[in-house]
Amino acid sequence: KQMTVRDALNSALDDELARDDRVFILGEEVAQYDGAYKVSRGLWKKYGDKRVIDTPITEMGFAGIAVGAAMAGLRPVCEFMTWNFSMQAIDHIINSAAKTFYMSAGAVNVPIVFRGPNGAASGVAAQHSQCFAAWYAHCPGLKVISPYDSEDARGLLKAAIRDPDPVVFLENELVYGTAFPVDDKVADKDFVVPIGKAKIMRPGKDITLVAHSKAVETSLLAAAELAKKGIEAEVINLRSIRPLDTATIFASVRKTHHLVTVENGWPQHGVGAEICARIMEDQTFFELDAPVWRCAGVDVPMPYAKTLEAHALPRVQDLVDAVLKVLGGKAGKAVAANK
Amino acid sequence: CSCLTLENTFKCYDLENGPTMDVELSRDDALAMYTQMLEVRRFETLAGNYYKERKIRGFCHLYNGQEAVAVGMKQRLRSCDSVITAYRCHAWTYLMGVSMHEIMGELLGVRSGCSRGKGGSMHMYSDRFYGGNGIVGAQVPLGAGIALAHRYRKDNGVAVVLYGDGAANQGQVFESYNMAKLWCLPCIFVCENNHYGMGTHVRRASAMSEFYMRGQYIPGLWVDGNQVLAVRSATQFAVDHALNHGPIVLEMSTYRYVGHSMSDPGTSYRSRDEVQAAREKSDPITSFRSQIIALCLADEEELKALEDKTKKQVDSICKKASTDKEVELHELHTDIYSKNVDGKIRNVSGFNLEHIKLAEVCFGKPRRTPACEINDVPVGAAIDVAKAKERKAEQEAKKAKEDAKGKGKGEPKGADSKPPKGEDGDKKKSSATETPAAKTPPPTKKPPAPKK
Repeated sequence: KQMTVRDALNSALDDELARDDRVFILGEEVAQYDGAYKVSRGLWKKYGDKRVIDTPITEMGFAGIAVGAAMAGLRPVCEFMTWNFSMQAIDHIINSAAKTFYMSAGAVNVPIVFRGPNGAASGVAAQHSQCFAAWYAHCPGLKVISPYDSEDARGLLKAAIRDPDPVVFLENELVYGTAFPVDDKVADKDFVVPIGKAKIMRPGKDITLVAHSKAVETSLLAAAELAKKGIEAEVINLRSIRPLDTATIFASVRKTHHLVTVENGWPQHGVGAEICARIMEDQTFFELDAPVWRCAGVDVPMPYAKTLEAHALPRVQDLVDAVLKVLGGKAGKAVAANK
Repeated sequence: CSCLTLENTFKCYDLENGPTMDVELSRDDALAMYTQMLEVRRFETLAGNYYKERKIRGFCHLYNGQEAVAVGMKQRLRSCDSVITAYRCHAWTYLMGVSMHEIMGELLGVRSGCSRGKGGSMHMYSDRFYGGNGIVGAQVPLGAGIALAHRYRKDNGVAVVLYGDGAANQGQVFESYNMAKLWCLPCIFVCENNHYGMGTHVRRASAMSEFYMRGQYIPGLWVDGNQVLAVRSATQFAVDHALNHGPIVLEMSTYRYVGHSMSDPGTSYRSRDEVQAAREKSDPITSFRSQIIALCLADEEELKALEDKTKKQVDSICKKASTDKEVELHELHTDIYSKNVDGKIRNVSGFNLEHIKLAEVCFGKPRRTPACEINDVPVGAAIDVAKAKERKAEQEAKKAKEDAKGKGKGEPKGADSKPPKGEDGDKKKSSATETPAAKTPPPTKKPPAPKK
């Protein structure tokens, strides 16, 4: 059975709107236009003006209104047309949503989901191509989720809406239309994926690739490429950026003794950097046979032209090269053994 | 009950009729409001003193001079209405139901503090009171969101959103006006115009300083915010308007006697004469006092006794708070999430702090996060625990059944004579083993209705 990421998100919203009448969606073009990326298609017709609310183009205002409604006990799903525009509203995500539960000593919780497409799209240049995983994962009080495939998207969005804390939900526009095979259980209306747990997408024994969102795809392709050379790479889909499932990463490293992190965001203080630091602070550090290597977006604002853009993000060959470098002599032996 | 007519207290914008000018005042109401204003003034004076003694830290914004706004408005708000204000929030916190002991405790950072020493002067909360807010203007869209929640639930409540003349120039105020009007939200925007945003006079900050007209497409009302009866009457009018016609902007013209915060002596940008003149001409407390006496609702002696009594009470409460113990160190890592799914909280060096949940045990007044909302979906390790419990319960139930069957076969006579006992035992056992699993209901269960 196949399901696109868009349908996965749409059905998750539909389920949760039906399940809990405190849940409502607001954002730009979410209702009558059916969503700028059609994620909320059909929901306005089904649930009406009260539950699916079109806002003016006024990010700071509607993000604040959504947080206020959450403080007062509703469960808003606040859509940013893309996460790039969330910077207009970042004060409400961090100062109003993330910190209130702590500041109020647990008196006021903020059950809200901020969602929308994140990361590089195609040919939209620097202001519209940026990954916010590291930005938001920096802040205590937030939960940050970055799904990859349809199972992730559906299960995690449902878990996020049911969660009593503010959740930042980072989707990727480039995979909205991609159909992934899914189990029957994924379509179940009570299917949820736990927040804070990573998923091993492909087991392997030689090296671990840790990625999130679209970089999981790059990693899987690289793993397939490496398999041809006789190298078995284990691919971990992080799913949650905060909390970070270090247990799964550490267990994998104890098995493979090699690690490459993969992300489409910028490298400095990024998700990969955090994983490196966590390993160094843990006994797992002594399990490593080689330094951890990061593959990340090139440290420049995203360019517009097609070739430049393609080279600004980690590609399959970059990953293969990085893996071979990290494995060093061991990789040579594996290739030789395969021949 | 006495009647009086208000004069020069309102200016209307885009309104056919303003609030009633003829108001009634009962002796009880008069004394209640007078006491509240005295309490607030005395409390702020003490807070200022503690600040100077360095017992209170950081920012501390006092309400001296503006008491009539909070006290007058609170008189006409109903128990279903919500309030959110800016960082000058001690008076509102008190009026919305937090005791002075807890507020002073919070300022001093002691155990009795209403936010357990996590909030301080600007971050205090209570039932239907969504706090002070340290970010100038950020409370305005939040308040509009609270109004949206009132309308969503059709609970007949209105949201009162207070901000100063400084915040009135923030873009998000106008964003909120726009959506409040578009969606006809039951929202009362209140600009407390004390004429200075920090040290900048309104004329130097606002191209148009008629804040009650700044909603443009939203009706507005200018109110003499130093007259508690005018504030009260305007609030009644605004609540009715908000419920029937949507948002309204109130401008409460008032004056703050003290600096912007404790670090501002409040003298470089205005003269001492100006402050002195405001105190003499339009002090909300002394003017209300003369009104009470003029209306023969109480006499000089009675009021004097009330003043002494209030002062003593506030003093003793605050003194008591100042002897409370400091917040315990482990509270550093409490209540970061209402449902923590991370393992440990990172300490300065290493992940070795346990996330502690105090919300349900520490204090009763503000709205707790209902347990049902926290447990409605087992997440992370809770899923495994819930599943293990379910499995265990199933196994035990099965075992119990088999045991009962075995017994039945082994002692046919006994089983004949008391079959119900065996069945009862079965039921008891299985129900007992099922209870722990039921505590974290599986995702299939509908969550209990919200208790709000």
